[in-house]
This record gives sequence, structure tokens and C-alpha cells, in this order.
Amino acid sequence: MSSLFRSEEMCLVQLFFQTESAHNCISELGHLGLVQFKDLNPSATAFQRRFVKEVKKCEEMERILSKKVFSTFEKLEQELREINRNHATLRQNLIELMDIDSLLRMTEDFFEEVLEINFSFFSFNFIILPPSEDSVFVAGVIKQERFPAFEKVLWRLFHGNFVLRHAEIQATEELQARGAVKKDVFIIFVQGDHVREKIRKVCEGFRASLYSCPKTLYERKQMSNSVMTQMEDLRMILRRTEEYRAGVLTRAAEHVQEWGSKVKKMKAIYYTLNLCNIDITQKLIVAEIWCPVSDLAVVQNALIKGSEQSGSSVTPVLNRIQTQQTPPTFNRTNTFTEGFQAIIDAYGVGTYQEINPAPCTIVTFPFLFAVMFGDCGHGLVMTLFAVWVISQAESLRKWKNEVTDVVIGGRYIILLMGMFSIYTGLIYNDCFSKSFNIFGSSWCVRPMFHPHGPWQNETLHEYHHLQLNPSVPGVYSGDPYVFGIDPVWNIASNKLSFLNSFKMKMSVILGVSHMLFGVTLSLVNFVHFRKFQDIFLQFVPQLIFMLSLFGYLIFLILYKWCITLRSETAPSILLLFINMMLFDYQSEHVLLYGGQKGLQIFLVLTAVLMVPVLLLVKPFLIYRTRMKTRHQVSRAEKDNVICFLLQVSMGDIFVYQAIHTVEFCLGCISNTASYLRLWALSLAHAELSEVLWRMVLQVGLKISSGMGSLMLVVLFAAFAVLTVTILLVMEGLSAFLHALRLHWVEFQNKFYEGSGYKFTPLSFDSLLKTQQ
Amino acid sequence: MTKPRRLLYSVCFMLSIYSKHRLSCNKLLERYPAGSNTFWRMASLLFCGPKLAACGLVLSIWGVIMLAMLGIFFTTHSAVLIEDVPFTEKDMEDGPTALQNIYNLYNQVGYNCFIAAAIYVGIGFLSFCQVRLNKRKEYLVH
Repeated sequence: MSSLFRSEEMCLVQLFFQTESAHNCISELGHLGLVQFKDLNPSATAFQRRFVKEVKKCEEMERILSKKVFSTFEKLEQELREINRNHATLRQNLIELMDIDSLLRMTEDFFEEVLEINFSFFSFNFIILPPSEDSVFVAGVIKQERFPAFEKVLWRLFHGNFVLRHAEIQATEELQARGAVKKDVFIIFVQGDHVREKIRKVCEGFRASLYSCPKTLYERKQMSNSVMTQMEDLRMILRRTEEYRAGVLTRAAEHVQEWGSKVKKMKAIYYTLNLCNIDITQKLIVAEIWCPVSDLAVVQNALIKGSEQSGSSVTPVLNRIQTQQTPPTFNRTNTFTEGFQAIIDAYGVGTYQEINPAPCTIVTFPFLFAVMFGDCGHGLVMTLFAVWVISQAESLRKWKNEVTDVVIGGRYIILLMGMFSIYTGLIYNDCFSKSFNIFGSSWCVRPMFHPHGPWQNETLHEYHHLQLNPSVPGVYSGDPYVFGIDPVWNIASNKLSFLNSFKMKMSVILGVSHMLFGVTLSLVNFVHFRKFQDIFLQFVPQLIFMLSLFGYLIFLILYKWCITLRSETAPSILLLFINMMLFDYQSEHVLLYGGQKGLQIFLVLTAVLMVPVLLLVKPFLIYRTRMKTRHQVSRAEKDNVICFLLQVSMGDIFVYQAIHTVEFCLGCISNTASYLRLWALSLAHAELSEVLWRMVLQVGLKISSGMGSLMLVVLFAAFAVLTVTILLVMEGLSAFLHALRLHWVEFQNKFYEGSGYKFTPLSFDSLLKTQQ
Repeated sequence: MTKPRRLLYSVCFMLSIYSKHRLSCNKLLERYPAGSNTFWRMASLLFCGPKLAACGLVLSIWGVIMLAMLGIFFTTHSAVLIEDVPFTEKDMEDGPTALQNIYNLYNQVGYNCFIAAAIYVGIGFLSFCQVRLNKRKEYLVH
């Protein structure tokens, strides 16, 4: 359980395994992802390594793979070209069939017309003029732009002894999609058999396509049906071709990915083998790994499995060795804690077995963010967004954008930030810059009027601003609002005076508490590393210094909040504090409680006394122990060398201690002031939110006519877009950054060393993920 | 009938006609599913991409919820929203109907909010149809 708050205990293990089983064993370890291989040949360059040939081979293979990809693609390309050619011919046939189809439909009308003409001819002239066999008709399709010229040529040829009808083919969307041009259907009726050749020649010249059109209605219907069935068949063939093409491409893509990952794994294995030592008999490989102590059994099992797979008879040997080297820092994380650990490690990876601030950060970071963000409407939008990202995390990872990767990595952080923001929004009573009145306000205006209070009707006409006086009975009910800021402050014009004072004091309280917590964590570190001397030389003086000055400041704030004061004569806490430091006690200064002067003088003297304790005691003790050992050692000659080696100069120790002391003492003041950014950003957010409401949404609300609702629709859209971009994204990023800075600098410089190096195990999962 | 009420009824009427049109379009869509390359193409009704449609849907949902709640708060004469009500000096004059004037103004703004919420219901429905059409088109290509 202690591993939750500090990094895991690591051990250095020597592995011995046979050369034949090397590949399988390391492959198993790679799948496990729990061991980090130490470089046993640090002096060898890349070219001198044992398996340099194999690594080169793997790189070759990668190149060949891409070449193979090329060759596969070449084959694919040829196939695709054939498919495309067939596709084109099929399309051409389809277009021809469509033309025939439209032709057949249009000629229906023409034939009816001709029959009518013949019939009328028949009836009016009483000449029996049967539809003669030598009256010829020709039907065809021609491009629309060529039609006028075509008509003129026919006129010159036949001197008007012909009937020509034409109609445009309705350009359906399908035709347009397949890239056809506008075409016209035409049909010519001429007398005489010999003219067929002439017409054919003319049509050839104009590149019109002629189709034989059957004379009778029955035949035409049959032809129409057959054309329809042919078209359906063609369409099906085209669709199948397209599907086949798509299938071929996807199958090839899958294979390529598989080969790629295999080659990467092999390359990683050979790279790892380069880090190991081969012994003289060339049969045994020696490796040194860092491994968590609790996972030794798992590693052993994996090695046994690997050696069994390779068929070797000898099981690998694990030998734990003691070492003075610093192991890497390994913090076990799950999906939820991963993000928080990442933001701590970004500043500095913790020293081995130092206390890990990440578990505390899970709560304090979103909380400090929320103090600066503080709006329940915006918090709700942020929470819903985070919930959506969490539910869609896998499908969003495919976008492979830098920004989306960051958002997906921090999705749980955003969720917690949103939830905490709803909480602080309820405390500030701020939702899109408006307050909720859930429990009933504690302030009442009516008692200010006559006969209870001083106001009359004329007072309302004279003054623009009126102040509610809480000492008039009934104005203030005596019980504060149940949870959060009273909603009456939202419509008060001196809202900011009240809220600024409240938020500044709250920021100081939160800041000093956070820093005291940091100092306490240093105590935990001292206990774990058994530096008991440091507890009394560092932790206790630091704690006393902070508590006597800044702890007392918090006490003053809380005390002043709890007692009843007249606002005209209440002392300012800032002035009280300044006067305390300057020992300035004049009789006209108002004090908060009896005995304050004595207590304050005592506290300041205590704090000042702690400074030389921090500065001088520890170096002095080191000096004394050195003197003692030097007396004992000076008798033996050879120990001089050791003495000389162990000696850091006293000057360095003093300087180091002085820097540390000054950093702590001055840092106390500057860091406390730094926490005032909690107030500043919260004020900025509230003001931006109010400005957005007043300048955008209120304009729509104040229009009372019927047009008001339409304006409201448009303005609400603008309000939503601006809220998301300015208040959520910009202010969110800003508050995130400042909360992070408060953690990294003001909190962590009380206890965190951060000089370790990260545990980077051989893991195929992370390898493939990063490559993708 | 008061002016806002008339407007509300006319908007509801237009919405019902529009929804009937959309229902008939959807019926045709089922009879000629886009996967069979028939002449009838529903793509002509698609006028925005998938991202714009999704944004429109999210905005409409937010608009409906927030404007409906604002409407409720205005019609219950919440004091916190006093600055959003367009009252003038004349409404505040001493008289028997001063309070009632302010309440009427509150109600007017509340009705405006409700109408805007109804319009957002329509926009949301439209965006939802666009999202569905986009999904169908995507399905067709794959």
C-alpha cells in the first residue's frame, strides 16, 4: 500500500539465458512490459555492438517492406487499371443503352403524331395514301450542340421533303454523375429508299449514332423491356466491380500493417540484445535489468515460458544483486491516475522512493482550478464534454491530431475539473453570471422603509443608489444564506467590494494551507529516509516559522469573520499584519482582541529566532562531526585519501544551507502572495462572464416586441460560441496553467526533489502505439 | 389574441407543415434506399457536412434547455433577472398598476424565451436529420 504514495521498490537482477532462447525470452519480456534493460556495454559505439548486423538486417527489412509495399502496390495498380478499363467500357455500354431507352420512349410520341398526320391526310384529302413501305424513318441520338447544323444540312439535302422531330434527353442525375453530355433524340421520316445511304453518311459526319427502331408498337415494347433488363444487369456488374476493387485494397492494407509491427518488434529485440553481454563460450547471454520487487515472480514465469517456446532445456536464471546505483522511479498508474502522474512528471520525475505528489494532486489540482474557474454553468458544459470524450476515447484516437491526443490523455483531469467547478460555482453562486435563489435570501428590503427604517417615498426619487443597513431590524435576518454567497449580492452595485475581500482572504487561507501540507510531506520523506536529524533541524523550524507568521494571519482572518464589528471602525488585517512586523503599536490603532500586542510580539520574535536555527545549526553539526572523525582518522595514513574524497568543503555546505534558508523564508511571503492569483483569475472569469451576458444575451432579452424571439435565437448562438471559445477554452487553459504553476513551484518546492529518472520498460504495446 | 400568442401559433403551424414534408421525404427514402443507385437521390436535401450538423445539434440542445429555463425564471418573476427586463421610468411611477406593469414585462420576456426555445427545437430537428443523412451518405461510400 505504501507504493500508492511513493515509487515502487526496484531491484537489479542479473539474467542468464541461452543464446537460442534469447529471442523468445526477450519477446516474452517485451509483451510483459515490466523490465528495463541496463546498458552493459556503455563504452561500445553503435558499430561495435554484437548484434549490429541483425539490427541492420531489421532496418533493411523495414525498407524492403516498404519496397514490398511498393511492389504489392504495383501489382495492385495493374489490377486496378484493368478494372478501371472494364469499368469504362461497361459505362459506355450503359450510356448507349440509356440512349436507346430514351429514344424508344420519345419515339412513341413521334409515331402517334405521324399516325395523326397520316390519318388527317387520309380524312381531309380522301386520297388513300397508305403508310407506304418506301417511307423510311431513321432514329438516332446526336449531341445537342450539333443539332442545328444537322438540321440545316438535312434541309439542303431533301429540300424540305422530310419530317424531322427531336427532343432533349432528360439529363437524369445518374447520367450527370457518369459524365455524359447533353444529347438529343431525333427521328427523320423521308420518302424513298435510296435516301437511307445519304442519311447514314450525314449522320456519320455529325457523329450521331443511329439505332434501328422497330416499326410496330409491340416490337418497340419488347425492345424497351430487353434494354431495361440489360441496363439492370450492367448496373449490377458495375457495382460488383467497385466492391471488388475496394475489397482488394483493404486486404492489402491489413497485411502491410501486420508485417510492419512484426519487423518493429524484431528490431526492438535485437536492440535489447545489443545491451547485453555475451560470455566467452558464446552460449550464454547475461543481461541486467531493473525490475519492481513485487513483479519478480511474473518475470520469472515469463522467462520460463520463453525458454519453453524456444525448446531449450535450460531455464533462465534470475539473480538479484545489491547495488549502490539509484534505481529508476516507477509509479504504477491506471487509466485514471495516468494523466495526473504525467503532469507531475513533466516538471521533474521524483527521486527514487520519494513521496509522490500525484495522489494528492488528483484532488488539489482540480480544486485549485475550480477556485479560479468557479461557474456552475461552465462547469456543467465542461463535465458533459469530458464525459463525451471518455465515452468516445477509442474512436477519437483515430484522428491522430496533436490537440486531440492531449485532450484524450487528459480526459479524466477535465472531468474532475468540471465537477469541482460545479461545486465552486455553487459556492460563488454563479451560473452564467446569474445567481440561484434556492434557499431564500437573508436580506430583505421592505424593513428599510418607514416605519421600521429611515426610507420614505421621497428617498427613492432623490437617490440613485441606496444602501441596506443591516443594523435596522429585519433587513438582515441574522442567519446567513445556507450554502454559498447570498443571491442578493448579484444585483448589488457594491458586489465587487464584498467579493474581492472574500476571495482574497480565501486565497490566502487556501495558499497557506497548501504550503503547510507541502511542508508536512517533507516530514514523511525524512521519516522514510531515516534522516531524523533533519526533522529537528529543518522540518520543525520551518513549521514554526510558517505557523507563527502565516498561520497567525489565517487566524486573524477567521477571527475577524467570526466576530461582530462595526464596519466604520473595523481594523484592516493587512495593516494589522504590517504593524505587527514593524512592532508599531500606537494607541489610536484598533486591535481585534485583548492581549493581541503581547501575542504578536512573541510570535514575531519566535519566527525571527528560527532563521539562525535554519541557517547555522545544521552546518555547525556537520563541522563538529568532521572534526571528530578527522581526529580519529589522522592516526592512520591511508584514510587520508578516503577523508579527502569524502570531504565536501565546509564553504559549500554553508552556502547551500544559506540558499535554502533564504529561499524558504522569503519564499514564504512571495508564495503566499502568489496564491492571490486564485482571486485574480476568479474575478476575471466572473467579469468576462457578466460582460458576455450583458453585451450579447441581454440585448436580445430587452427587445420586448415579437422580433425579440428571433433576435434571441441569433444572439443565443453567438453567446454559446463566445462562451465556449473565450470562457471555456481560453479561461480554462489559463486557469489550468496557473493551477499547474501553483503545484509545481509553490507547493512542490517545500518537499519535492524531483531528480530521478523515469522507468522505461521494454514494452511492445507502447512501442507500437508511439509508432502509430 | 395577443401578438406573441399569434406569433407562437403561426410558428407552430409552419413547423407542423415542415415536419410533414420531412416525414414524407423520409418515407420516400425508405422506399428507394440510396444503396441501389436509383434515379431518386436524397442527397439534394443535404446541405451541411457532418461536423456542422453535429455542432448545430449540440447548440440546439443547449439552446432549448437554457432558453426554456430562462423562460421559466422570467415567468416566475425572479428578482435576480431584474436587469434583463426592459422597464422604463414610466413603468415605475406610483400608481395602482406599477407592479403589474413590471410583471407583464417579465411575462413578455418569458414568452420570447419560450418561442426562441421552440425555434431551437426546429433547428435541432433539422440538424438531427442532417446528421442522419450524413451518416447514410458515409455508409453508402464505404
